[in-house]
Amino acid sequence: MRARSRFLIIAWLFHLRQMATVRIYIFDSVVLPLVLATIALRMAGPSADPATLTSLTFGAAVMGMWAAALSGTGGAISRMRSMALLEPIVAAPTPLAAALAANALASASLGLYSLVATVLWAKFGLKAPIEIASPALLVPAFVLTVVATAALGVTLSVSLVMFRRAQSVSNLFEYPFWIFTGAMVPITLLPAWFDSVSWFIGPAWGMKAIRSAAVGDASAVGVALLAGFAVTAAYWTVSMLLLRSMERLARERAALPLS
Amino acid sequence: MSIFRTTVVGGYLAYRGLFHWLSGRLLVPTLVLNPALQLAAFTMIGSYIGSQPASYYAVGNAVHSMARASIFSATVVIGAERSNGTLSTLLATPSRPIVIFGGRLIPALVTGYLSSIIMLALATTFTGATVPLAGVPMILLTIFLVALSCSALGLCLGAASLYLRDVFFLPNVSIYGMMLFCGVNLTSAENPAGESFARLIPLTNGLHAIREVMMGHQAPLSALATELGLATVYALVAMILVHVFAQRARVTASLDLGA
Repeated sequence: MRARSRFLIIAWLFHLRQMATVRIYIFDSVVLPLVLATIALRMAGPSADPATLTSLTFGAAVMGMWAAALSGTGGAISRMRSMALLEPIVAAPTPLAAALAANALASASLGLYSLVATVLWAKFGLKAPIEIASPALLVPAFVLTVVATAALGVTLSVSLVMFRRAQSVSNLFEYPFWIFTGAMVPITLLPAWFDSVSWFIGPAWGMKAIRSAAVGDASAVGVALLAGFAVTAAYWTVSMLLLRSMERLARERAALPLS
Repeated sequence: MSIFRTTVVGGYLAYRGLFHWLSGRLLVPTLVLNPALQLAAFTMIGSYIGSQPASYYAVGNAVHSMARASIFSATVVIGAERSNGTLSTLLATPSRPIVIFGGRLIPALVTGYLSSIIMLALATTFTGATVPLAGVPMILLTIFLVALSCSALGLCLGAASLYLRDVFFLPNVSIYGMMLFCGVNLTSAENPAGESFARLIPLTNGLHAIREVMMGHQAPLSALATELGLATVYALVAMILVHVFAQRARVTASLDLGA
C-alpha cells in the first residue's frame, strides 16, 4: 500500500512536471479556458448579473481542466502505444491503473493553472465582477472537481485502452462534458433528463459545489461534495473492474489492440 | 503530367495513408458526430447566455467545424510525416515539397467541405435557420472559398511544423482563436476589439457572407473577394515557408531547425 502510494505520488509529480513543459497541455489548461471565458463573458455581456459571470468564469476553468484531462489520458494511451510502451507497462508489476491514475491526476491538476489563469483574466482582463461569497468552501469544491475529473479521465482511458485510436474516440467526449456538467448552462435550465444523467457525472457535482460556494450556500456545497465523492469512488471501482478484465483479456490474447 | 500525378494521385494516396484510421467506425464520429456535438453545445450555450437567436450560433459553428477540419488536415499532412519519422526521406526526394504537400490538401478540402454542408443541414433542421433556395449556390461557393483559405492557413501552420517539433499547438491556437475572433459565437458589437484583425484571417468574411445570404440578402462580393484574396496570400506564404524550411533542412541536414 505504501509502495503504491509512493509510486502514485512520484508518478503524479513526474507527469505534472512533464506536462507543464508541453505546449499543448499549457494550451488546454491555460489558453483554452481564457478563450472560452472570453467568449462566454462577452456573450453574456456586461449587464449580466455578477453571479452569472462568476459561474461562467468557473465553468470555463472546468472546461479547460477537462480538455487537459482528455488530451492527457486519451493521449497518454495513444502515446504509450505509439512508443511501444503500453505492453511493458501492462506487464509491469505495478498495476496499469496506478500508471493511468497518476497521469489523469496530473492532467486534472493542471486545472489549478486553469482556475487561477481564468479567474485572473476574467477579473483583470475582462473586468468581470467576480464575487465569491465563501472562498473557504471553494477549496473543497475545487478539490472534488479535480479528483472527479481525474477519475472520469481514468474510467475513460481504461474503457479506451483497447482502441488503437483512443485519442480520436476520447475527443468525442469534450462537448458532452460541457453540457452535462453544467459548466456554462445550469443543468436545471435544460430538459429534465439532462439532470438525471448529470447525477452520474462526478465533475457535474464539482461544478454544482463550485457554483454553490460562489453564492455561499454551505448546505448545497455539502450535498454536492458527498454525492460527488460517492460518484468518484464508483468511477474508481468500475475502472478497477474494467481494467482487471481488460488485462486478463490482453494476456489471454497476448495483444492489446483488441478492438 | 508528372506534377499532376504527384499532386493529385500522390496527394490522394498519401492522404489515405496518413488518415488510414479515418475509416470504418471512426469516419462518422470524426467527421459528423464531433462537429455536431460542437454545434449542439455552442447553440445551447448561446441560447442561454447569448444575445442572438439559436440559428446564429448553429450556423457559425457549422462553418467553423469545416475550418477545424481543413486546418487540422492541412497541418497533419506535414506534421504527421515528422511524427512518423518519414519527413527527412520525403524532403530528400526530387519532387518539390509544396507539390507533395499541396496535393494532400485536395482530399482534406473535400472532407471538410462535405462535413460543413452536413452541419449546415443540421443547423437548418434543428434551429430554424433557413436557406433561400436561390442562395444555395452562393453558400456552396462561399463554403468552398472558406475551405480554401482555411486549408492555406493550415498549410502555413504545417510548414511551421518543419521548423518546430510541437505540431498541434499552433492549429489549436488558430482554431480557438477563430472561434473567438471570426464571428462564430460573438457579433462584431460584442467583440469590437478584434474586428479589424478578424478581417485578415480566414472564415470571418466568408461566414459574414453566408449569414447575409441566409437572411435573403445579396452576398457581399467584397467579402467573397477578400476570402479568395486571403486564400491566395496564405497559400503564397505557405509556399515560401515550405520552400525556406525545406531548403534549410537540406543545408543543415537536420529537421530540428527550431531546437
